[in-house]
Amino acid sequence: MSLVETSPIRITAPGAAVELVGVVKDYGSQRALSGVDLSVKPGEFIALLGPSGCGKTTALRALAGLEQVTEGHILIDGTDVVNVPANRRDIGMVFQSYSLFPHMTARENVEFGLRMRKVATAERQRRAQETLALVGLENLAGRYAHQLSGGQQQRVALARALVTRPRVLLLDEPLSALDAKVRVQLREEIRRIQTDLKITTLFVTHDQEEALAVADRVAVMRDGNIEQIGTPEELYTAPNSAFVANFVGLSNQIRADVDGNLATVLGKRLTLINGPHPDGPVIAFVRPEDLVIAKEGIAATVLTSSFLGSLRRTQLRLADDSIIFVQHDVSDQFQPGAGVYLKLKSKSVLVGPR
Amino acid sequence: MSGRASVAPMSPQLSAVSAQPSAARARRQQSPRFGAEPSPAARRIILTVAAVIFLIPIVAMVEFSLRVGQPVNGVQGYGVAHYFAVFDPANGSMYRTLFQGIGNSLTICAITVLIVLVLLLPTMLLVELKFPRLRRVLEFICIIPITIPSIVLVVGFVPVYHTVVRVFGSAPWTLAFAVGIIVLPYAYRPIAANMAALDLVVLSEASRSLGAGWADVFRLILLPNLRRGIFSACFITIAVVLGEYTIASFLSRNVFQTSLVLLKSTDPYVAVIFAVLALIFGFVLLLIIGRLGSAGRNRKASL
Repeated sequence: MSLVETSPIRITAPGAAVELVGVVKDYGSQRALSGVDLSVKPGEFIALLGPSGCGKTTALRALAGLEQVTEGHILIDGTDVVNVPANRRDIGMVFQSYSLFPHMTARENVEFGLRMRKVATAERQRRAQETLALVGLENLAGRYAHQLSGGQQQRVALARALVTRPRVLLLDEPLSALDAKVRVQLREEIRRIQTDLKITTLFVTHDQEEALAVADRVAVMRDGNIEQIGTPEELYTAPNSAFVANFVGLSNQIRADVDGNLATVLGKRLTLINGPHPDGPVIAFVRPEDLVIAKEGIAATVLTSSFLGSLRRTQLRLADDSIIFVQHDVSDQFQPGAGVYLKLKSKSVLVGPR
Repeated sequence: MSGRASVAPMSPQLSAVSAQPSAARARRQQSPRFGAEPSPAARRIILTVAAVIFLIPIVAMVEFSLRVGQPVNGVQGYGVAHYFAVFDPANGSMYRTLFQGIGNSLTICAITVLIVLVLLLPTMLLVELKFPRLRRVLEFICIIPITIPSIVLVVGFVPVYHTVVRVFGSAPWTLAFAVGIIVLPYAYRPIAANMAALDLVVLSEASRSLGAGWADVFRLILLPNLRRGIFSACFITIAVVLGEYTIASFLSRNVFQTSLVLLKSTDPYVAVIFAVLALIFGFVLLLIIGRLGSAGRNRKASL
């Protein structure tokens, strides 16, 4: 891609392929990344999901060149960029905190990357205005950061990262400082723009709902490693570990027993999602929507029932005092203290060591 | 049969943005402000008292410098004769030491400001961006001079200046090395305050990710945003240089302050005139720096 390319912003080549090979990052004696392997296809939208301290931001910063890796390789379109400084990697980045340059207007912020690439003044003004229009802020181009709301600032930051048509776009929890409504709006816009521009995007978040909503694939990270990578559906329906089952969505952890290829959960025999498992006591991970309140089954007592808009979640206590969540239609209402019966809908289950 | 069950956490599916209730806002506005700023009336009184305390000696100095001759029948004559006398070529030899002292002081000011800009500022930026754990250490080092009496510093400087004289000679400008240490606490504080108000790490990382090299990061991002702190540091540096007497006197350098003290015994009127002029110079400098600092916020940045 030419640095002084004059074609409109929407007509861009697909993004670059990104590969992390055995990336290790140590901070003194602390290991932040423990040999991360990740392969991202051109134009793909990958979310790095995980709890605080799992290494997702470190991985992103290593890719951006803002952290020097201890070991491993980072390939962009097959070229190892480990020793390439951040300003020469041609990667756009949006940061978690508001990072607009306070002494510049929104337009000047967006123009900055083009200025660094020696794009002529008229051309960079045109492209900056065009990119601001892409994020719906063409009318606020003359405003300074302190005159913009948080959501508007992050839109400008997104435009600033996109205007140079980078090979890769990195988003480091760009929505975490925004209120819930703006967060949802902006994440939809990010997805729309990414789909439109076909730019390879890595999006760091600790919000599983956000990751599942926007990403083509989600990489769940834990302790500096990628625990599982897959489509949102794969992660939700076939988590490969208890950690993923717990982190992605809500899971009831129920004591069960494995005998051969079947697990007995709440009195029902189910096949194992995660393959053969040694016989004996295990923990079964059961989604709330895989349970149903029925006319017969396991006896339980209603503790609370929460209205969640499109559905209702009811908390039940079983006879052995264990607590279980069940998700059901909003029209089914249960009063606290009421006696109900519980049934398992699913035919397979994920189990882990007890 | 089933056993004990537990539930893994999940973010709520519904979340709402709470609006600030107008009634609560109104109640808060009406409630007394404990520990808040004083009322307008109290502000005016404080300002007036401070202005009177500040202005009385200045007005007295101006009045003294305008006196001409002795009072006749209790009536003092006034004029600008002493002001003209300063610039009268006939008095050139009388005031030569004073003008040399002023020249030396201005040179020392320039060199000291240069020390602040070339040594202190880059060090602070380096610590902020690359070695944030050393921030406390740097602050401690910069604050030390304010805790040591000038006379004690002079005792320490005397043997050091034996070496300085051997290397650089005994020109008055060499006093800038000593003054450069004295101004550290005063120059450090405004720059540090300015830095604390910005996330310099994120700003520099953002600019680097956009293709800026370190030189561009400093020139186009960091320095414009630190302008206010830098100007304040420079102003305070100049003020300290023009006010420092002990070290210059004990190291036997002719600067504005020492020459003013010498002149006071022979021509107190001119000594007071220059003291007033130094004050006015300080005020003008403060106004200019205040203007430059505030203009930065409004001016459109041109890359």
